[in-house]
Amino acid sequence: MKINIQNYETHFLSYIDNELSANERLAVENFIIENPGYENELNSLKQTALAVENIIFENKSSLYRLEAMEASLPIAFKQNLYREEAKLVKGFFTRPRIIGIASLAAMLLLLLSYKIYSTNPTNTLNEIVQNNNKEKINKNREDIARIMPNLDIENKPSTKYISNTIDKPAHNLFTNENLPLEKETNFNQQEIKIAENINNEPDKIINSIASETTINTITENNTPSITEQTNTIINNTNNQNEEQENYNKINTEDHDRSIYIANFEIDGDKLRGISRRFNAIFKKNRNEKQK
Amino acid sequence: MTVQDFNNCVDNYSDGVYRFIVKNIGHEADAQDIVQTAFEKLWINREKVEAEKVKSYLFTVAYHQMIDHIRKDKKKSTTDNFEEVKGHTNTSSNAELKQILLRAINELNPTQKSLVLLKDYEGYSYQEIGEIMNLSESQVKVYLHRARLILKGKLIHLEKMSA
Repeated sequence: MKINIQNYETHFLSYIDNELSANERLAVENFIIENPGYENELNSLKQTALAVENIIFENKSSLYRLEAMEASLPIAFKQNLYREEAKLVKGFFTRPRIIGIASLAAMLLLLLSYKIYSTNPTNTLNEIVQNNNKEKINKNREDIARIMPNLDIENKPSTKYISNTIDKPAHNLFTNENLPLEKETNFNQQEIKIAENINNEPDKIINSIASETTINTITENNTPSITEQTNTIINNTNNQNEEQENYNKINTEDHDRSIYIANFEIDGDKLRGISRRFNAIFKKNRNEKQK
Repeated sequence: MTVQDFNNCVDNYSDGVYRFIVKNIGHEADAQDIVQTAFEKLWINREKVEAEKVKSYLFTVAYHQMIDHIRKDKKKSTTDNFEEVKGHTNTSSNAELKQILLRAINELNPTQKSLVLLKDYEGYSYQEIGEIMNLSESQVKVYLHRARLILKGKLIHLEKMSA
């Protein structure tokens, strides 16, 4: 583009900014030679350009990066410094894990305590039954002693035998000895038979079981009254046996009612109650539909 | 970029960046902070910045930092900025004219001032100035020419006043 009076200013400014090529610079210089009146214009524009100043940034040391600043330990040496075991131990006993262990322990304790609680009532029941039996035996003994003051019940084998027959079932029930209950009832039946025989033929029986001192003493004193007494005693023992059988039945039924899911015992009675309620509800609905 | 390369950049460009900033804002401590930030950023991005573009990168970061600083601190007057750094300037026979020019430059807006400083002090081309200041080449040319004409007018006026 040729320099003229209209566009000289742009060329002059580009000349000052050093943005012109060698040929363009020469063109500007030629324009000044041809038009010397514009030389002052060029010089006044040249005055707007700043001369380079030496301004120094004095805090260079704050900008420098030192080799030592970037130094780092070798990886092998760093690995020697790591404490993995300590980290593992710390990692295992984390707070959630401790809470979990504690909750498990609490659950186990609850289960154990429930087990102990559920087994204890049966033991206490056994003890009560045994105590009741003993009390009844003692009462019977006292009655016999009242009727027959001469008879030494404590030392006689027949009373011992009776006490044994009373004691044994109760003992068997709760200590789980293998002695069957039927045998004991047979024992009682035998005693009844003996008592009946005594009533019917007192002389024969006295002779036949002369070896048994108790029966001897009884027959010597008053045979009909003794038979009555023995009958009452036998009845008592039978009643006790029945009670024991009842206890036994209740216990086994209770045992059957309990349902075990893993280690958890569910009360069968309560479950039955719930199922009945459910059934009742469904029955109600059925009845309503039928209606 | 190694540590040695970076330190060479400090030696070569810190003075120019500082001069550019201090001439613009006229506050030495603030200018030093801006230079510090510019070199911090260069160190962080030392792997990304190409070796031949380090200088323009430093000026670009410093310029944008300076713009932020000016926006935040608008109350600070930039007048008499050049008097503050008078001690660093070389005295010459044209000292009086220079003072008039410096006063005229202080009356320019920050963009015009930056254009003049980058052109005259650093000798950047229109294209390079455009990259630093985020302007097109033609914009740089137009704005710079306008700034020079303003300065010419101010110089004539001040010369007449002083005369």
